[in-house]
Amino acid sequence: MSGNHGSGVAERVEHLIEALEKAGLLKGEEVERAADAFLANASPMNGARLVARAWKDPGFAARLFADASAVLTELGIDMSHWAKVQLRAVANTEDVHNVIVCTLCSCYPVGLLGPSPSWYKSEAYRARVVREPRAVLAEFGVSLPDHVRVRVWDSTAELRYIVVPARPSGTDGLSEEALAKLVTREGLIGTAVV
Amino acid sequence: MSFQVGDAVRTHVARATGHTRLPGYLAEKRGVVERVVGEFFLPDARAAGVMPAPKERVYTVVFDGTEVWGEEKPGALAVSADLFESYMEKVKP
Repeated sequence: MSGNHGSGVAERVEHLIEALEKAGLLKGEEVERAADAFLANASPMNGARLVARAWKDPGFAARLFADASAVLTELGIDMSHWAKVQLRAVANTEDVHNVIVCTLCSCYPVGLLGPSPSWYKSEAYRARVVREPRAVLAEFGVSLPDHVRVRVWDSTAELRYIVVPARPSGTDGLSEEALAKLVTREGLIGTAVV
Repeated sequence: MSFQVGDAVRTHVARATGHTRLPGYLAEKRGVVERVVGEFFLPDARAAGVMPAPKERVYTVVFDGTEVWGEEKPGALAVSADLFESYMEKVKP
């Protein structure tokens, strides 16, 4: 289990890369190229577009909730980095509020949400959100009515989660592009409402 | 033993040594299988250098906050995790 994502880890990674280069197993730019490829086009706008389409198109929403990995191509989102993981979209409703976490490390749908915020990787968030999610959400400025059940999704294996926030009222006339602009990264994690 | 959606399960004790993807707070807890996810390499074996690592079925298992933490109002909080088959056993609902 990885508890600490601080500088100690970065140092060890540097040493490891150095050793692999010395042994001729790795060439200078390979790691950087792989990291660039991994992060290319990784942005919360991908998640926002997914949500806006789901709000606008009930058929798409149904397919999204049935098999989120399969509908990414409909939006032209590159799935190549998702080869080993599955994506699951979960919907906020009047009765359920979803929030995602990785208590064991920092699993996160990078391709759809971009690099994760530092608080998502913090031990405080990871330990507390499964224990007292309402208190954590309140600190993010989200106060849920008593009747709303909180569902915490701990990404412990090869699944990544994305929250589909409830569509705000008064947005009936908006285009898909305008709707996507309303969706925030925190909304896609579940630590904000939209 | 493989499980079906709706099965009541109980997770095993947490490993004393080595790697696992069963979080400590969900060890020895009762939950319900909500979804069968698919088959994946068992991380516990991969971390131990077993080659090739065996594949196991993964399930999304949902736990009530009351079962996990004791003090929550039943139904107010649910926590789910994606757990490998060997992490748990079937129990009577």
